[in-house]
Amino acid sequence: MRNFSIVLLLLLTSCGSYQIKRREGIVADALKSESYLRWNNQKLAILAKSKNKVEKALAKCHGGQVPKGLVILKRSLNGNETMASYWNALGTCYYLGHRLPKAIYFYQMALTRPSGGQTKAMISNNMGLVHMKLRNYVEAKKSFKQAITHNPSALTPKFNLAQLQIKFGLLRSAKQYLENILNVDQKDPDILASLGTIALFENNLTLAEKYFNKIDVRGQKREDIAYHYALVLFHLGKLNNAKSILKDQNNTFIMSLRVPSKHLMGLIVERMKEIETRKKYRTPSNKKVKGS
Amino acid sequence: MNFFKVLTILISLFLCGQTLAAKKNNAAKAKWSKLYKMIEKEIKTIRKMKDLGPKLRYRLVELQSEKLKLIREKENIKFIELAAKGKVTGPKRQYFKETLSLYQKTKRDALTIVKKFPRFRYNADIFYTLALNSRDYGMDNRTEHYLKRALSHTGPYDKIVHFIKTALAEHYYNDKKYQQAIGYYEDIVKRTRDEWLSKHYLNMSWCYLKTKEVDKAIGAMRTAFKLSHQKKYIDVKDQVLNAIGFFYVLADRFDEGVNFYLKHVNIPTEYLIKMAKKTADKGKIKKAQFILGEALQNAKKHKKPNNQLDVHLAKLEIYRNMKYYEYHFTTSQDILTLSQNSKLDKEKLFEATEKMKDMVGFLQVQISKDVNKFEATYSEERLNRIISYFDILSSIDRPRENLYRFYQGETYYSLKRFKDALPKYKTSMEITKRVLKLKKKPIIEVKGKELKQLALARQTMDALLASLEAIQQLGPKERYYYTTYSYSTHLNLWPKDPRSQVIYRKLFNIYVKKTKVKNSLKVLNKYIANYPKDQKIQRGMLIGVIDNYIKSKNITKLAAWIAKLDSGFLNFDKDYIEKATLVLVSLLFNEYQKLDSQGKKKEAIAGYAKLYKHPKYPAKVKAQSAYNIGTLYLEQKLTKLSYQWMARSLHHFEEKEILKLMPKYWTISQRMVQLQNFKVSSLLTTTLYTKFCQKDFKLKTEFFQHSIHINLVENNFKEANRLLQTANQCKIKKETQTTLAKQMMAHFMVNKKYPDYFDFFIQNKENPKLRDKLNTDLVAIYWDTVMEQKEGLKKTVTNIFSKLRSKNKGIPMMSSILDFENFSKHDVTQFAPSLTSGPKFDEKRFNTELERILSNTQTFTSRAEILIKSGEPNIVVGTYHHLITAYNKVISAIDGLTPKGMPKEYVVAFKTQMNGLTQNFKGQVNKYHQTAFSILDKNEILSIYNNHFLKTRQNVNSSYYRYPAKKLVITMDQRGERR
Repeated sequence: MRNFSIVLLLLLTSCGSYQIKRREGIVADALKSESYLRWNNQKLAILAKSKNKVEKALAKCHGGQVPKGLVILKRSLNGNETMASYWNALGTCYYLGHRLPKAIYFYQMALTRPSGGQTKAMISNNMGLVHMKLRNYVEAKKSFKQAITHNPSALTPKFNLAQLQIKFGLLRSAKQYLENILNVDQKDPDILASLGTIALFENNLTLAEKYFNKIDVRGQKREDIAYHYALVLFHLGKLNNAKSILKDQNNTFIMSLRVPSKHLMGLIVERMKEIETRKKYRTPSNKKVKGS
Repeated sequence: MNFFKVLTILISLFLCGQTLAAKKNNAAKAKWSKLYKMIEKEIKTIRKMKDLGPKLRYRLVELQSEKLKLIREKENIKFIELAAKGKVTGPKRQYFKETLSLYQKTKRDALTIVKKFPRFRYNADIFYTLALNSRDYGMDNRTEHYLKRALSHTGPYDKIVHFIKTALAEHYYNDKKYQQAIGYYEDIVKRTRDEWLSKHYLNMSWCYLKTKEVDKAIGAMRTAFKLSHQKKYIDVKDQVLNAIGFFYVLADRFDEGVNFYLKHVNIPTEYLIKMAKKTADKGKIKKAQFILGEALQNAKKHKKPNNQLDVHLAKLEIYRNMKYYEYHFTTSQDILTLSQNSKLDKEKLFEATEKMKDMVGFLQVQISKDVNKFEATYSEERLNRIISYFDILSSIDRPRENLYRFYQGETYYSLKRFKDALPKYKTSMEITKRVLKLKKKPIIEVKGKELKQLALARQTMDALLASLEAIQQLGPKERYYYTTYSYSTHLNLWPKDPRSQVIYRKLFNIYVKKTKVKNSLKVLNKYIANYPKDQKIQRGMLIGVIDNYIKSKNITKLAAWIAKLDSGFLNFDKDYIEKATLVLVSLLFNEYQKLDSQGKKKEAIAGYAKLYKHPKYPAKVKAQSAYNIGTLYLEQKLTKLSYQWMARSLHHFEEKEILKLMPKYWTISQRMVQLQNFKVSSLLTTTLYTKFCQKDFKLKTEFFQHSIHINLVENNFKEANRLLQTANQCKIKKETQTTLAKQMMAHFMVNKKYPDYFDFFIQNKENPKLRDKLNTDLVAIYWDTVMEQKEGLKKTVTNIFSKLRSKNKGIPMMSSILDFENFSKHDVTQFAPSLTSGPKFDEKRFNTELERILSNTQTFTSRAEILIKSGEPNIVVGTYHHLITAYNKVISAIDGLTPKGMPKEYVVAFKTQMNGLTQNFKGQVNKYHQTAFSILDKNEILSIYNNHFLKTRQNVNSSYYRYPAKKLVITMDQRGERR
């Protein structure tokens, strides 16, 4: 009984902290040149062998080995004291290790070091992430904006800011940023999915479908994308497609996705049954449903 | 206990002795009185009788003679007592007045009898009595006269004749009329029945000797000796033995004399010595040597060492007198040998030493005369003899050996042979020290007889120092040896002495020159102990030692001394200690710094650790070692170890040094953070800041800030707060305090540590400089509670707002929020009441209700307009949201109303009319929606109400879920270069 409890606890804990693996198998990626979060394990493994200790450490931290990454950074401090990128990397590792006050501390330290706009953009962007995690949305927005100011060509802060804006329904601005990114890579699933979501919120279901449809098959199976895509299709009345997309959805332990996905599947099935019933009895109400 | 027993016995014996003497005296007095009374009684008895005849008269003379004896005895005792007291003055006669008076009376009485009774048969006896009275009491030289008168009254066979002749012989003998005495003695010795016969022969022998008939004298003497062996005669053997040797010497019959003694006396040492002395006096040294040789043989034969010594003593006397110095010396050597092999009588030995001393004194005088006369040309032999005599004396008379050695030294000194004198003085000094047992007691405890020894020691020391001063040709080693010996002895014996005060420095310098630091320090310590006021000189001396250590790089010693100086020894000034410590540190660290620079960090650490643990190194070395280790560990990025050593360094460094090092500690603390160890950085910074916060030091403000920052990062809010609270006491600028306080608040806000924030708020709510920040933060917290749907916390915040508003302390925004709260709580259902009730439409009631709704809506809209004017994005958007909701409610209520029980036309007309009304509302709703959307879109407002303005809200409401943005956002790790 006790063993069972421990297993259950571990399961719940892992589910709570589980994140979508967006890197694996996805080729198209507009942000991969800026964020290691966009790198798959294989690529990270190669990076982990880099002679550049800061890159190596970041590879470790992004690869889920934060303590190791921190040790590498600690060992490579000499000569890096004045390097803003070093302190940025250190902040990122702490961020990835969910030790946010220290992440902030080191990002702030990074900001005190002389650096160019590109680096400053990185630091500000990452500081924004911490604020996002702390649900300090106003601060997060400031940070992302600062990042964009520092480096207007940087895509990541724009993407991040767009995500924040979508959350708060600031769709117009979000769409601008995302479309800007889409110009870099037309097939980036995150960008397409985000734009699809915006279109969904704007009630432009056809456009939404268009965006989701552009995502490659692997991307469509991603837990969040599959859900949103299926939602769009459901509202478009494309129940079979919606059902098919949800069916192909990657198994997820993320309860917050699993539950609505299941709920949506329920709605789809219910609606399909309803249609089936209407077809069977040819009730006038069936016709009405189609147009709604 | 034993002591008391012995004392008691002694006292008892003493008392007993006194009692016995007193008893004896009393008994004698009693006896005397008894006799006297008896005599007096008989005299009285006789005198009472009338017409006394010659016999009774003679009896009276006899009794008076007896009485005379008693009186004489009594007066004599008195005389002796007075003489003992030195009170005898004038002629003796006056002390015997009673005796003389009674003598005269007795003489008169006796002569009266002879006169009155010329034929009285006892007249010879009367004259004999008169002769004896004259001899014993008369002082009138009438003895011979009366004896002759007595003899004239005797008959040929009278017994008294022998006594009269004997008395006459003795009278002549005593009167040195030996020839006349011989006449009577030769006569009386014929009568062999006299027990005094032996005595008569003895006296006669002396008379022969005086008349130079030595052989006759020896014969008479031998007869007297022979007769003495018979019991019937008086024993005069002793007198014979005492005299006969002399007789034989006079007769040049030495061998016979020796043989006589050897034959008749078992151990005749005493007699033979006398004989030998007499012989020597006669100048016959060989014979004297023979006699003494025989005596010595005899003593040896009988194993009598003391007798042997007697013989030697006699020899010494004879040789000294006869100037046979060589024999005197050999005899002295014999005595030494004897003393080494036998236990001898102390007095005799003393006599021997006295004789030898007399001799050596004589020799010293001789040799000194030589020096004076001939300018230091003297007999080496004589000198050696003197030295040898003192050697002998030293051996025989051990208790005075130091004195004899001193004399040896003095002998050499007088001859200016200082080099030879020195060892002798040294030996003397060593013995004196041993005698005084100075190793077991301090010199001040020397008392009584020992003071003489101490005086000798002083003399010896004077001599040693004088010799050292006078000597010119002495090798450096020897000079060092004797100088250090003399000086150290001087200091040991007289540590507090004006001369010692100088010697301390001299000896110290000698040792320092020879780099005998241990010895020099001993001297210094002693100097310090005895002359604590000479600190200035002593410091100078010690600096010499320390310089020596520095030159020789003797780290251990240098360290030990610095530690001692550090503890206040000799009150060295801080600057000097500091300088010496720096030298030490540089010496100590040199090696490990090399290792460090060679990259051998571990070895360097081990080295410093060794220095740190060394028990004798001063605190400065420990501190610097610990600091260096800490630095090395930090270089190796071992922050925890680094901190541990830094903490140790702080323990040992002086406050002043720490304050100097503050910038370095600051860097170290920063480095610790850079190496991601916030905890140790915090510990180091906080410890230093807390410890020295009352002082002014470089980077103080930075320490303060850093301590707070790091404690915040480490979630150690209490400590951060504590530091902030002590800022005033620590004289931190108010502006800095305010900045830090605001930073703390910001930290709580960013990390949403609201309980901690509220604690802080309670403490600082009255701080005017923080009021604005507190107010804006509270507002932010409020919106966060709305966003996070934390109703409890929201209630807390609104309560605060209410309180502040009631005290007019808050900011307008708080009022707006409270108004908004109130506004948002407004029951929107009031906008959608049942406009009609009952089975039939009641137009009047409807109008009343509609009027009320419109009125409410107007009021509500007015309130909303006020809120929108607040400009607070959340309030603006929220207000619009609530306004739209309320309007929609009204629209919905009006749109959904169909008058019941009314004609169809009425219903159509009513609907048309109401539609017109709702269109206005709808238009208004649309306007509000657009305005709100425009505001939030334009201003990018991040409000909880934003999503109410999404177009598709109604479509996705039931099933929409969006993966959280916080999980969608991504890091930026690169600058964007393509890979």
